[in-house]
Amino acid sequence: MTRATSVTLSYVLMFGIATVLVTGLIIAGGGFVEDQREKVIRQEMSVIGNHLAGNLEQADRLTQASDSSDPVVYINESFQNQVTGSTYNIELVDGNPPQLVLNSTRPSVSVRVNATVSSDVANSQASGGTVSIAYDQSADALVVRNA
Amino acid sequence: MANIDGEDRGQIILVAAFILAVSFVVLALVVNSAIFTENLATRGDVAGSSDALEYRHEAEQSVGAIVRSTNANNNTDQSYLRENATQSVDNIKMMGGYQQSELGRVVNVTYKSETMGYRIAQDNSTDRSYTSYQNAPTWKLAEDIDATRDFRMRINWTESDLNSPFVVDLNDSTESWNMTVRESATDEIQVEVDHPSSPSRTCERDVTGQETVTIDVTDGVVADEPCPALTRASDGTAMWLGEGLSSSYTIEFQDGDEIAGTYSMVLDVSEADIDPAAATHVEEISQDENISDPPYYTDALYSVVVAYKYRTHAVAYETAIDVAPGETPA
Repeated sequence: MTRATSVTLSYVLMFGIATVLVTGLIIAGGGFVEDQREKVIRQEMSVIGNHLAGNLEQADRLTQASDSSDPVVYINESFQNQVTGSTYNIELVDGNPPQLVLNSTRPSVSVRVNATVSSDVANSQASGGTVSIAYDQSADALVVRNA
Repeated sequence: MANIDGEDRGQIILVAAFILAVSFVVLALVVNSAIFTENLATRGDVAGSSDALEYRHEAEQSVGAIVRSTNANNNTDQSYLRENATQSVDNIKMMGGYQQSELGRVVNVTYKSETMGYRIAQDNSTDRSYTSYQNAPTWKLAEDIDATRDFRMRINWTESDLNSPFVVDLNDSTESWNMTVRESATDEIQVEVDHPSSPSRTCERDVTGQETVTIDVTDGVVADEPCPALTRASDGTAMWLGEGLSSSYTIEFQDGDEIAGTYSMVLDVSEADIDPAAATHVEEISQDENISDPPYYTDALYSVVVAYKYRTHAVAYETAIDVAPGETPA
């Protein structure tokens, strides 16, 4: 029973090894969950982005088919307010091609979706939830906004 | 500090187990989100967003039919044309609106305005040649024309002698667009189109044994088959009737004595510009008068503008529709 080790040393060793093992497990587990969460957020935002790009293109067709210079066009679609527990916002960026950029706040993930439209688009943004793609008569361009 | 020699050791493992349990709960939520994402990805377009265009097209077709039938049954007074068209559009508004409301949408089609024009036609006799009222073979139908629609010719093939060609000439002050109709050596009908800025194109159709041959100039159809010469230039770009001319052109028939049959067209033009030489090339048909054999002109609706409103819970579309049936695409 009384070998050349003190009770304190054995305690410290055991405590240390247990801590290292458990910490490793928690870090690995937490990292795995965080990784999965980020992946799912990216996936979900790209799905939402593609839906919105589809609505943008549909709104573009409606605008293009119009014979008046100031048509009323909007298409609303409801999504969740949060993606996997994180809030997000949607930006419409006028460029070539125009892009929908979705950013989640925490963790910070960004997804870009291209759209093909003939009408002008104006830089605009909206937060997640019920999102409307609309024709802005004063800007003579398609915008994204909250319905 | 943990007690080292009792059974109540293992707090670290307990705490760790608790933390891991929480992270697995979070993982379950993440997996749940992933499943929801898959579900979201399989959803279609917003309900009603494509129907907005579909019903717009339907409304345009219906109003187009109204414009055509109003002109066909016209008694030459512009106010009657307007009144008839307004009432017919109101009917569409009633019936269509009711039908659409059953599908959960609000659709409203209302008459806004119209462009009056004139129809020039020779359609009372099937064997008269395309000469003017005074039998001149080459004559101007009208000048300073803004637009032409529904230009159709129904050629009496047995009465026509197209070995030397008949030409429809559209010209503004600088350029001209020609459609030449002739019979080829192999007895086919040959329609040649000369464009001001691209090479001429021809289409031929075998019409052996046919008594009548139709040419729908604004639709680009010859003998019931599409004729690319009337719709596309040789490089594939669109080239409809009068393409490349300013919106103030003259239509002239050349050598109309070679061809016989009927024709009709609706022009966006003022009355003073019809028969510009005042040579009685075309006769005006006024109210209650019988239609004559030689070419005549009469009041007609050129186009009608209707306001179109479409709403569902998620989609709104409000616009004007400019309806001019048989007009070449802009």
